[in-house]
Amino acid sequence: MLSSAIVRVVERVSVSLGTRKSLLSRMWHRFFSSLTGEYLWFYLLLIPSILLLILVVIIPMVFAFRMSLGNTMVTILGGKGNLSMQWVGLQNYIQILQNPNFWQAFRDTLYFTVVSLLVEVTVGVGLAVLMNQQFFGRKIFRVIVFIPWAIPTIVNAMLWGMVFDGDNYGALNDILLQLHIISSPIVWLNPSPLFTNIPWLSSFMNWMGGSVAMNSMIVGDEWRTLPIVAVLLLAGLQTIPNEYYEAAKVEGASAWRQFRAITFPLLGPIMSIVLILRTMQLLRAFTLIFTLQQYGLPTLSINAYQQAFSFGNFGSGSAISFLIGILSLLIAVVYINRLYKEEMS
Amino acid sequence: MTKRLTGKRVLLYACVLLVTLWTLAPIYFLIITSLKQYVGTITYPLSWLPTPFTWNNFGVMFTKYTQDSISYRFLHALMNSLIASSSTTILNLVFGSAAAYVLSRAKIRGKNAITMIFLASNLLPTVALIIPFYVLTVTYLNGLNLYDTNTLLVIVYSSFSLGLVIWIMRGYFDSIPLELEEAARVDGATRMVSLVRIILPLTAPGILATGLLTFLTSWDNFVLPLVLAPDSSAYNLPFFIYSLNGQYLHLNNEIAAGGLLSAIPPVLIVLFFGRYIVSGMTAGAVKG
Repeated sequence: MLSSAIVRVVERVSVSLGTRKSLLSRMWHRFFSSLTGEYLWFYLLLIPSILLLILVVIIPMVFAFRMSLGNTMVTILGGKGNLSMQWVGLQNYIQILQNPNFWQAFRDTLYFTVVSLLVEVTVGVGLAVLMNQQFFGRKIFRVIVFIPWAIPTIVNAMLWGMVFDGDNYGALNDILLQLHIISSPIVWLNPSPLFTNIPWLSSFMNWMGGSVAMNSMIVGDEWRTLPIVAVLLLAGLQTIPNEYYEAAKVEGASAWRQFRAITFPLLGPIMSIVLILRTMQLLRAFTLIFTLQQYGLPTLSINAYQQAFSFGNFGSGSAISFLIGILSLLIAVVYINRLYKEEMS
Repeated sequence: MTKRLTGKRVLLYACVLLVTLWTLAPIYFLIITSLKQYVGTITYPLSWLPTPFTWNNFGVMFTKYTQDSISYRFLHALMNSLIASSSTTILNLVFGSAAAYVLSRAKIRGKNAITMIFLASNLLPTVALIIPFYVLTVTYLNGLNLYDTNTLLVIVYSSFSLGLVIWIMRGYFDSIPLELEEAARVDGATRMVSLVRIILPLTAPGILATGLLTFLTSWDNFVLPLVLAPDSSAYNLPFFIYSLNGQYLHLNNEIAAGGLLSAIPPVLIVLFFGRYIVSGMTAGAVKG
């Protein structure tokens, strides 16, 4: 009786051990087969990109964060750089946020970004609608409009440097002088205030960063970037079925009403893409402004570059670039959420 | 009614003309400047024809090849731009498409999050990465001798475009029905075979678009060589054009000639393949 009970207990234990063993081995088997066979390909194809991401984005970002927490200096002796990162905590950030130059750069960047985006969603949409009309030579017009986008940024910068040249042989000054619109050449690249006859507006614009030079930068930048905005929006316009407009016409809707009710909402998804791409490009704007102004019109990017490479202060350079990064990512998250919501609906 | 319509047509053509003028006038100005002698760029009133005329600004880019002459620097910059941009493109296409395929097809948890991280990495500002890159290459990685090399530029360029490549290519892979691939596999094709023989040909427009976009982005890059390759061995065309802009003398005619030459490849790409690039960039938005 007792022995049979013992046998039963032993059997039970061994059975339960057995099942546990088989469960373990099943889990192991599943893990193993997920690494081999079917899933092996997946990992093999994905891992190089993830490694690249870790190596060239994540590690540098972590390192930049560490640098931003130190009094970081690099001394190069005999081709070998020496790094000193004396820990100072958040001091770099505190100093930056207390520095009026940083806030000027912040407002400059904001002005550059917001005004450019405003131009792009108004003139850009207008240009796209124009390219979508029926007219003689439309095909060649679409090609011509697209060309400036292909011009390299640095060439664009040099070109607008020649156009905006402050002497009377600058192209814009020459045109305006010969048409007798102005009597003496204007120094387009000088950060002089606008609206000098209305003092409060003038000082407000200056505070916002909206100087003559800044607006010239926006014009030069838009010459190269409006084409891609317009062409992308045109691609969006072409996906809107013509029947919608015909139905609206039957209902007697005006052109403006059609635009408000059909064109604008249906452009939404493509508009989000354009806004994401452009906002990020504008926030990091460097080449055009740096080439034409050096440090004269410091946007955040130029400010960070100057701190690091001109003053050798890699700590606060990193801190500024970290702040730009966080700002960009916050904006990107907002946009991307919007995009996903649009795709869901 | 007809009167109003004609009025509209006139307005339409006026707008077309205005936009054409706005687009072409700066290009025309660049072209005539590149064909002027230096004196023609600083006289007033400015001549809107290439006078005094010369081909010399283009000529100096190709002749009198000696150490540190303009042609030496131009041709080296051209070589560097070609090498760095094509390597970046190939590297990005191979790695990026592979990753995009997995992120589109595999039943891996968090693949949306991974895609978002890649995209976010693409949206990071250039300076945010360039400072740590510079410090790492000249200090800890000094032994690798990466500073001022094409290798370094290719690695860094890649970090700026890989996210976009993955994002766009994932959109293309998503648009291909799963059944197509399953049918091939029922017929006995392995995953690799079905990927190479069936999926890749279908995504060829996407591959072309992302490839060209990557090429254009790396061709355009100026900040990275400014910081990471300022000496003669790896600087690219944008940096060369920047260096033409002397501190005291602005040789606008030479700058214009160099600029036009460096704009030829991207302009040709946009003229011939612009449509593919646009559909690639919008693939993420209108795939539904």
